[in-house]
Amino acid sequence: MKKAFYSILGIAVVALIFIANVASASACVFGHYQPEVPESLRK
Amino acid sequence: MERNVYQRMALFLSQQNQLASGKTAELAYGLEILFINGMNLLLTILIGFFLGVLPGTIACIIVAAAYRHTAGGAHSRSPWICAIATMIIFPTLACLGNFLSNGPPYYSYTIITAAALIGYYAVHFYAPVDSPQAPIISPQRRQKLKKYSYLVVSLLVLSLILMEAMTKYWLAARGVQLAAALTLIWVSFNLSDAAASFWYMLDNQHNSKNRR
Repeated sequence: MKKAFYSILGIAVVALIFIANVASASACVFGHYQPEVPESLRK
Repeated sequence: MERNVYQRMALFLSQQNQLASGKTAELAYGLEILFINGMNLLLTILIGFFLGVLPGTIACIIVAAAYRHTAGGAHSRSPWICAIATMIIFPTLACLGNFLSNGPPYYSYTIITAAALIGYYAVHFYAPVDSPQAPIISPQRRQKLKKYSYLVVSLLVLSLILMEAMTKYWLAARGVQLAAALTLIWVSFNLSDAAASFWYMLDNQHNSKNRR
């Protein structure tokens, strides 16, 4: 059970980093609010 | 240092997965993007559904997402104003498209032509529009986004023209076509300086009410 929980956390981390990278590559995501892009993703 | 809910969740995730500290900020950004846009999308679609303009609302969302992805646009500083505006604007444009679809065909031809002209004008003179929260640093990236904006507007205009053929088989097609054209005009307006002033005014209205 604990192992499954940690695997889900790992998948969530990979998915979130992917979303952050895709979002930072675009000029704007969709909505009318833009959160602060982290320095490491600015280009 | 005070952390918001996204930063706290990101910190938990990065501690559990033993990530480098730089990745925590990226995780927090991913969480914020996912939550805010997910909620906006869900609530806007729900409102569109209850108003009976679901296909038009979905068309508006697709046009706005595709266009803003490359061209950017003016933003609000508050996620709440953004959520309320999104929930109001897209179903309203869908309703307006539905209403105008009952008029003579030259209404839709005029609106589609206007949308195409305004779209190209906005892309040529303004795109891509960045914000202080997400600046476009590299000139190459700026150039690339401008080219992609032209491509996206061309594809959207082509889709609007092709949708004309669907009006014979699908009753709601004219309304959806007009809603998409009106969204193209709305997003083009969002690239202008007037839109930046508009959102600034909305933000200040919200802040002055909070101070009272």
